[in-house]
Amino acid sequence: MSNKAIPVLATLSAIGFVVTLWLMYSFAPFDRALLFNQKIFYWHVPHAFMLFIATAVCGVSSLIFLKKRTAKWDDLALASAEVAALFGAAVLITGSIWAKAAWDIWWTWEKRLTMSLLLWLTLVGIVLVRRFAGASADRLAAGLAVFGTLGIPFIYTMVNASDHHPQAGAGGAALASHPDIKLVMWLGVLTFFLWFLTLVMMRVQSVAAEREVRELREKGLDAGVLS
Amino acid sequence: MRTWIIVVLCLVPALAVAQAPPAAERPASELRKICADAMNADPSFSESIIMTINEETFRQHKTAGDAIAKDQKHVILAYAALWLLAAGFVLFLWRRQQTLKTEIAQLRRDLETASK
Amino acid sequence: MSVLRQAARVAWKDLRIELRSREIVYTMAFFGGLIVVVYSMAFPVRPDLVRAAVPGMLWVAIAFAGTIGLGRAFDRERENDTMRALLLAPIPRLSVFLGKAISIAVLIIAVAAVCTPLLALFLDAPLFADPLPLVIVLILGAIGIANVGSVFAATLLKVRSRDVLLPVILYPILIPLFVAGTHATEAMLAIPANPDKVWYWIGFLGVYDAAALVLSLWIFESLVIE
Repeated sequence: MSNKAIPVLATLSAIGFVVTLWLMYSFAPFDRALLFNQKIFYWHVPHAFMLFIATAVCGVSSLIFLKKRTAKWDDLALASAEVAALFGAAVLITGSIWAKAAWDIWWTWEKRLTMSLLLWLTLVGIVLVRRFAGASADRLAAGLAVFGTLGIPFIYTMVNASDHHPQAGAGGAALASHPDIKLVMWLGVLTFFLWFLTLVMMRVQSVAAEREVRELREKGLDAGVLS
Repeated sequence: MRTWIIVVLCLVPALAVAQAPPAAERPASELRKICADAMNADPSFSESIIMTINEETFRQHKTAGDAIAKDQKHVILAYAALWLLAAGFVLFLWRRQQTLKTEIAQLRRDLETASK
Repeated sequence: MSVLRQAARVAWKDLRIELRSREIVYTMAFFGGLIVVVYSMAFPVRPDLVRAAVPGMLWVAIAFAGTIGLGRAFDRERENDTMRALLLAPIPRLSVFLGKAISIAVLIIAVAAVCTPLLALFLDAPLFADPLPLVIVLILGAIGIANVGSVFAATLLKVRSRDVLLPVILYPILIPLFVAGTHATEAMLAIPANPDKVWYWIGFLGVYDAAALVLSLWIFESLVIE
């Protein structure tokens, strides 16, 4: 099933990239407060959305893996952790470029930036633990993912207490107030959601292939074919 | 034009000093009035100042505004970074999948020949 | 109910070992005191700086001492492979986990009881102007650290690089707890003191502890399966 789904999803998200890019230039209104830099928004914010969705998928599938011990969920947890780390890197890099354009500084220890960095470091930690912690790595990474996901609502509450970050929601004065801006942003979210699905499926496939190689090797060792 | 302004600026006080009795005895407001009168006496002088200031500030504001309003550099940079990240990850996945596929095929073949 | 009674028994066993050797308490408390002395040398002791810096100092000291205590408490179970015996004992695994967490929370509270007066004394910080919220914050913090810490220390028991991995895994997870604790202490030291804020962060800590406890009770068994 995933053999057919991956090309379809990839094509749809490719169309989405082009459409959002075109709408961003020609259709979305010019932002008077943040000017042309604001165009970074249309891809930056969807990536942030996907970061949170991927982290949540990773946390939930880790929890199910811990309870049920089926390898399928472990594959999904690993794949979504890696993809979440990728989206986190994307958010941090584009955010950093936007900060340079708008605030003339690459990085500032503003709360939301700090928390995104923290979340990203946790995700990188999961991927690293997965690779280097030896025999109990899968459980350990799963525990880290579950507790890391538990922390997200708390971190979110904490950050919202005082914040200078441009807001995608109601709080922002200049951003996303115009319906056309919102429309293009949600199109971007949809596009990158499809893209996220594509990447996770591809990664799950390769994790499954890795397991098959391992099993075949063991079989070969048992049969005495391999040394 | 600038040299003219400087020359006039130097000449006007010199003339004022030369014409008038000792300046220290006069109140400041009177001196200012004399100075202003002297400057206004030459219409091209004030005009040139206004022109210079206007052109300069206008040019500066326009370039700064244009730079921010048409700041495509950062947007293109950000989007390029995203493309690179995504392309890199997909390439990495694809190559890995290819090596895994060949490895699986190889292992299968070996196992089959061994079992025969 | 019997789960809790068994947990109390496990905790009492740990604490009795500790009371006999006093190894962890002494080393942790000494370490905590040492950190305070290092702070007083590393940072300029000025009244205006003290109010801003003491909350962070307090929580960093507790975090460091807590990690050391956690590692040591579980190493003790590893030395003679008594953890296996404990897990094989005819009691629910939840009791083992709860007992461990309780005993470690008690140890961390003991360390905090040493560190906090020392900070107040050496840096002349008015920490004890209103002792009740301070005590509640410290106890809630100790419970949170002990709870999440025992889950991961138990999971890491068989991993070779556990001493490095424990803080690496624990600190990112515990960030909400540390930030909330620091904010609460900061609000206590502010002029004028801000009780609304203090109680907001105490509530935050309480909810965090409860959520973490429920989650660890839920997945502890799956995590430490041998």
